[in-house]
Formats: sequence, structure tokens, C-alpha cells
Amino acid sequence: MGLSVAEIFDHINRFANQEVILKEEGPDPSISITAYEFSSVMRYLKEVREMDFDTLMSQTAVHIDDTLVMYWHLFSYSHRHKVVIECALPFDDLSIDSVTTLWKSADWLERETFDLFGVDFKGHPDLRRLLLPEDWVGYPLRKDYQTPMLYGGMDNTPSEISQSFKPPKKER
Amino acid sequence: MTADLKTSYMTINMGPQHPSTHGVIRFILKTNGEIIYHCEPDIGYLHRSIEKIAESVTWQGFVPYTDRVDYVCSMNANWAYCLAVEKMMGIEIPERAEYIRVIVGELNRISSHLIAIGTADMDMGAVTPFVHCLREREYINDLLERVCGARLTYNYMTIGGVANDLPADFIQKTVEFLNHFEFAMEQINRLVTYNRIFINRFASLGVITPEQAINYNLVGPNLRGSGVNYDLRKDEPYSIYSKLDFDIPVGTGSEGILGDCYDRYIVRAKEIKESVKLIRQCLNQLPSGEIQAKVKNVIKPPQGHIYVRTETPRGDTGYFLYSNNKTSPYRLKIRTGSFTAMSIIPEISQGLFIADLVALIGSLDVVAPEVDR
Repeated sequence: MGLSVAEIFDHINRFANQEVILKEEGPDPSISITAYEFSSVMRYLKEVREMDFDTLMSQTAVHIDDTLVMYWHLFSYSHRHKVVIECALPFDDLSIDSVTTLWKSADWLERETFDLFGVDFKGHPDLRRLLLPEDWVGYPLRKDYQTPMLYGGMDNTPSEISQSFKPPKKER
Repeated sequence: MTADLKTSYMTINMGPQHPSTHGVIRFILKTNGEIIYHCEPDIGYLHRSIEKIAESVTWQGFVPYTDRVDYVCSMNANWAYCLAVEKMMGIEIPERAEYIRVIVGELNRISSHLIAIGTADMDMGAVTPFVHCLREREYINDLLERVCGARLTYNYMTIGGVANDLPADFIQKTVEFLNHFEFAMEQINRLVTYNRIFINRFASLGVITPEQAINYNLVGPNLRGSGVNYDLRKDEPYSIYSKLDFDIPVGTGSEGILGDCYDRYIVRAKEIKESVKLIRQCLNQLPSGEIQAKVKNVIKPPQGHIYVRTETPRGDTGYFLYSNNKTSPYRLKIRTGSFTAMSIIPEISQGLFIADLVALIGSLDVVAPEVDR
């Protein structure tokens, strides 16, 4: 078996100049790094032999208060170990380096995150909407997203019947 | 005169209602004659914003939505989600429920692989094997209908176990089916899998190297077809798979080049046999007892996030859950096998014939609702 998360954290901590935090509470431990050093840490994880994270399983984001916390789930087929990299982005600067040069699977995963959260991946070869139509306004998975009342000339306001509907009270 | 003639790539639209794209997917092809120069998949036609819906329903209330993520193997989709929530909350489920889960999950894996094999044959113009595959799948649908009342979207597994116990004669009926099915599968294999015409059509086509497969994060039979021996049931065992005896078929390039369409196809055909083996073992060892762990009606998983992968027929399905200790998920992401399988098509399809693109899609076993979610 490969390295544990604590050992991977030690490696990253020795490599990085800026603050690296190991978040152990919760079901999955994760390693939080800064956006400034993100690109070099990811390259380190991919290319150093002890790490050799050869695949990017998942990339996603969570909107928490006024930050967007990004998650990368990496896995290594050669060492059979995995790690979760976390990076918090403030909403006034939603941009981070793309990792498409390291993992090809990042291409569509980053396009999806751009589509649904509006994160600008610097250096992505083809950053367009993936799931939603090209003319869609807004980023639906943000918590402050308002469902548009008009789309493409179609009225989307809830009908009177659905507004007046109240679920029946549960009798006990 | 001839000097004025200009040639350029021809753009062809394929889909979204094309019968061989396995659902509503559109491809924009730039072709040079019959050869594909560039292929761009256009997805999102089946986007139902399941991830957004998850944020407004309860944890248990999301189980029926997982059926709709991948309706060809919804039992396994249920399982993937329930296992993620159980791991997050630290719920231990009763042993009988684990066995029932493996039985119905593997039955569903057989029916999903039958669809994969059948449609791959049909895309190549062989309609007869498709009918044979669907006939066998009907028996599985009948069995699962007796278990949970539904034929396609089962909603059978719950957080903490399964919804109801197996019917009284289920074991007998399943053994009868397996006895019949092993013979029928042999016939299907003789008809098409080991048929020289079919092999010549599929071998050495759409080759995905192991490095490409890992870099694009292909999973499941597509990954194993490229010769990478990795199956979550064996390598990161969940449920009771560590107690069971089964093999992992891996592509060898026996008929052409390692990682070609035929390798991905044969891995599925062989996996069906392994599933039969698994079901027989589980039916023999099936213990009696509870089928549902004691779980509260309103559950609030602890603060934090988790990423759980399970081996569904289309590779590992990863559920990312973020809980803030409320009654509904704060964020839920589904990473499916078909999503990455779609993303590799532009690279692999370069230089193929248009008819071969159909073979490539068929061998990757892409299911459209799973791509879009």
C-alpha cells in the first residue's frame, strides 16, 4: 500500500513555501493549500516518484459562505493511495490554474465546474459551458443563484395553482 | 479550372436523435471524406440538474433520484449513494442485507452488460444477438420485479439496508434462471463473441493505451479492457466482496492490439460469468436475520465531506457528499464512468471512419443520462 494522508502532508509541507493545512476532522481528511502555490504542488504530486498521482478522479467545488472551496480527488494506480486537495477561493477572484496539462480528465471536469460555479481556470485550452446551453446566464450551483423567471422568451414563473398548493398537514 | 477548386473539411452533425449514440448525445464531426478529422461531443441534452435537486431533498429522499442517474443499472446506482451516506454516518448494515445487495447488484450488472453487448452488436449491424440479450434481460427484470415491484427504476436499497426481504421462492427462481442463463450466454458467445466476422470488425479498432486510460480516468471495463487490472470489488473491497471468490477479467489484446474495442467487449462478456459465480455463492451462503439497520427517520450526517467509489457496471461511480449536519445534503456531486468515457472520444476517434466511431461508442458503453446527470 502507498502513503497515508499524514505522510503525503509531510511531503507537501516540506516542498511548499506557503501555509499547508491538514484537515483531519470529518469522514475524509484533506490537505488545504493556497491558490498561489496550487500549480506547483499539483505538479509535485504528479511527477515525484513517491507520490505518482497518475489520475484525477474528481474535481468539484462547494459554495460555503463567501468562499468557494475547491476539491481535487487524486489517486495513484501504481501506489494505490489517494489524497484530497482543497483550496479556498474568494468570490472576488474566482480563478485558479488549470491542471489539464497534468491530467487529461481535468478537461471536462474543469469545464463542468466553470459551467456550474463560474470558476476561471487559467490555461484551460477550451473553457466553455459543458452541460448548460451556451446562452445560459448565471451559475446554478452557487447558493445565491436565482432561478430565472424568463428563459428564451418562455415564461418560467410558477403558476397560481402551484403557488396556492400547500402540502397536507401530517395527522398524528 | 481545377486550380479554383477549394477543398475543406466537411462538418457533419450526428445526433442528438441518432440510434447508435445510446441516448441523446450529439457529435459534431469534421470529416475529410469518410475519415474523421475532429469529433466534438455535445452533451447536456439530458441534464436534469440532479445535483441541484439534491440540495433541496432529504438524505433518504434522494435515493429515487439515483435511479434516474443511470437507469440501466439503477440497483448499483442506489448502492453507490447509500454506501456513501452509510460510510459518512458510520452505519453498519446487517449481514443478510449485504448479501441481498450483492445478489441484486450482480443481477443488475448482468442485465446492464447484456445491454452493452447487445447494443454493441446491433451497432455493428447484428440485430439477432441484441434480441437474444434483451430476452435474457427480461428474465432478470422479472426477478427484480418480484423483489421490489419495479422493472427499471428499483429504489430498492435504503440507507441502512434494503427496503424489503426477498420473496419466498426467490432463491429457487434465481437458481433456475442461472442454470438456464449459463447455457444461453454460451449460445450468445458462440453466436457473436467468438464469431470471426465480429472479431474482425472489432479487433484493432479504437485502441486506448493503458497510459491514456489512466490519464483520462477511464474506469471499470473500459479501464480493464486496456490491460489495467483494477477493480474496486477486489482492490478496495466494500460490502462482503472480500469474502467472495471471483476473478477480474482483463483485456489482453488476444485478437488485435491491447485496448481495442474487442478487449473492452470481451471483458464485459467475461464479467457476466463472474457475476453468475458471485450470485451462486451468495445464494448458498445467504444468512437469515435483519435486513435493515436501525436508522432514524431524520438523519443528519456529521459535518464534513466524503468521496466514496463503488464498482458499478460502467466503472466506479464516485459520490462526493458535503454535509453541514442538516437534513439534506449541502452539496452532492456524482462522478460517473460514462462522463470520462465520453471525454476520451475526441482523442481516440481522430482518423477513424465514421462507421468506426459508432463501434467505438458502442464498445465504451456510454449511457447518456449518466453523462449529463
